[in-house]
Amino acid sequence: MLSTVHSFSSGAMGPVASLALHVAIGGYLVAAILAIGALLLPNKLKMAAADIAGGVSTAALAFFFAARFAEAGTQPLGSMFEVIALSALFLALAYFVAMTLKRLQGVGAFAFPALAVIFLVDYLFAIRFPPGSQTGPEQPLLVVHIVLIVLSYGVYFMAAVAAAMYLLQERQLKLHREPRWTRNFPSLEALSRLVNTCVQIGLPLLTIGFSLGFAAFTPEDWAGLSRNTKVLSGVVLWIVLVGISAGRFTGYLYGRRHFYWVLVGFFLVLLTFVGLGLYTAAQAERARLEPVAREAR
Amino acid sequence: MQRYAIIGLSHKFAPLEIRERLAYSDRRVPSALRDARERFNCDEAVLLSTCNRVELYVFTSDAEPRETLLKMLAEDHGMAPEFVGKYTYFHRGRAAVEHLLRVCGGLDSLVLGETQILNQVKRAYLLAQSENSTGKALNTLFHKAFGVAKRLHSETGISEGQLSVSSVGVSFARRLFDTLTDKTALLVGVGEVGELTLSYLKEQGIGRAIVVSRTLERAREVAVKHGADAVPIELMEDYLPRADIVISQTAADHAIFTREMIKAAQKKRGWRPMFILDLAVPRDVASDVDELSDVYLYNVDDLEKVVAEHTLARSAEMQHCNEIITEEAERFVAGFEAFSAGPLIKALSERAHALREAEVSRVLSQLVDLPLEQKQEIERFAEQLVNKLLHQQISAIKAESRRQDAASSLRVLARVLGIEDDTQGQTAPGAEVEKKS
Repeated sequence: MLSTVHSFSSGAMGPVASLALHVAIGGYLVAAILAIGALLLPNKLKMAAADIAGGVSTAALAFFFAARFAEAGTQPLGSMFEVIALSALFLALAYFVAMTLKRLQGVGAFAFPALAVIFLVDYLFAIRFPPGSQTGPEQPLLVVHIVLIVLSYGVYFMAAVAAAMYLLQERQLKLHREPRWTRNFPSLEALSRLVNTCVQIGLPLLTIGFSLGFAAFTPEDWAGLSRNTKVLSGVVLWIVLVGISAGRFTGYLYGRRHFYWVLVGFFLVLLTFVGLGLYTAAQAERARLEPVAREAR
Repeated sequence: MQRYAIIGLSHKFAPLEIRERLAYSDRRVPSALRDARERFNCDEAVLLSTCNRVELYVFTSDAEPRETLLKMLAEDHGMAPEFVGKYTYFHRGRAAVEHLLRVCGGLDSLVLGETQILNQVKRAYLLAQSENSTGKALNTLFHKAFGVAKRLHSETGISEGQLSVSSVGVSFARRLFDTLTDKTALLVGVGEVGELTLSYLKEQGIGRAIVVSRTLERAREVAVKHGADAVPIELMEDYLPRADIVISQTAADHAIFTREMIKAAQKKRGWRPMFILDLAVPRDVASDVDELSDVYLYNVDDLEKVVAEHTLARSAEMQHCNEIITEEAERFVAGFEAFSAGPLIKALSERAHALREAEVSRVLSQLVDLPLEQKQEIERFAEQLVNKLLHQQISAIKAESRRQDAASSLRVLARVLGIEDDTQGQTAPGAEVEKKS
């Protein structure tokens, strides 16, 4: 695994970008450990230490993209690995923006481990689909489409983190318990507000992002719509998220049910990555087989 | 170190009637401090008088401070010293230091780990300071105690979790609501704990409070006391949907809040979370209300269970706290010894090294042909010899400084060593700490 990672990072990017990327990944792992430690042992560790490690990692990740722009001279969205890495950057930025707007304790204990896990998953993608096996977006419209969607995913990620914390905190309150690890959690009201704000911001971003994607469709894309796992998973996600927002707005979804559905929504966000992966693999396979088919004809 | 002394009585050994009789009002503290300094040879004194303890901290050269301090306490309150002596404790030296550290950390309090005592000690210290009743010795000790208290509260769980039913109830409400300024509390029935809970909520800035009672007159009486609105019990159901927090403590023999009633209120509230504290026995709220989404029902048993857990958790932190107290007291004692004997040691050392330099210069001036290396060897030899001779003397001075009568014995020592004249006004170990800052 390590040698594959090494060959991937040394073959796919320059030494500066590789260094920045590994600082970012290592930093997120450290931030995750510190944040969980601060949640469980508030007397010994402070969440600020995790935030500092996370901040350094985010800066390193931003630097990684700057380096990739400089060294590759192309958009750094040419591979699945970099698309997911960019998503992670937006997720981290969403976390820091939310924390700047309102300091909510304990959120880092969920956000940083999630970022660390995203990078581990990203490595799996990197090994399966090395850079160069796919092509990046060809139109500026598609770049805006990707950026908006990734932004909305970042916002939904924050919503999912807050929803998970809400459900844990709510369960403890219902059981009349006060375990040490929930003492640093924000109040239910604050978490609920964070979830609602994220959903309110995330849905328009996602809707516009999807619309731009459809606007950039070619007749061939429309014809292959039923086989396009990327689009299908995205549409399912959008319908569910619209349903959640409508349910909340009309008062049908309240209490725990609402927050469970927000988690389902984020689970679907993760599924769209699988859809994207399958689509990318199918594209690569088609590209590989096309000359053979042409020759046979 | 032995000049630090404390005499006092607390909830541990003295019943309330005795504590009441021996307490000092704020008005009487300045004169008591003056008394302590003038009549009983106390150089510095701080008097702490709270509802749970009366303690007099002194830094004195009195050989028998216990008797004199006991006499002072008794005379101040027109009681016999023998009688007062039955309820008091006395600590001296390191034990006195450790006692103050424990008091400031809340380890000696009725409610283990409470933080109110720290403010009370700070207040007593500031009062003594304003009366010019503190000097270097007590200033150092009290500042040390405040620092250690902060360390205890931040490094251990000794002050974590509330220890009363009312405060636990409010802390649960705070886990639900981010802010209370836009919330409404409804107090149904006017029991003691319910009223106390309402006053805690007011302290936390609750936006609006409504008091409901069987008699409007009683409701008004309580409402005026807490800046709330009074409502007759017939209108309770109308006001229920406005309440984010419901505190119920009626004498009813059946549940006055049913599941249907709360569900209907919640529907009107748009299912915003509702926190219900049922402080009544028998219970005022039907137990199946807790099954409703966004309703959080706590009864007396739930709250008392949490109080018991917190008490247990705080007790479990005692060992860690004791370790910190021991460590910090040791550090303080070491610092104090170095402080009190420091000037004498410094003078002795300077004098010895000055003699060494003079003698080495004299010898070297006679051995002008000696190679440089050998001259340096002589210098090294002389320095090592002086250091070895000084080591034994310095250890003896440090040991002497730990004794009760250190001030006078160190003065004699200085005279014997022939450095008294050089050090007057700066060494005189006793005198240094005796001086008021």
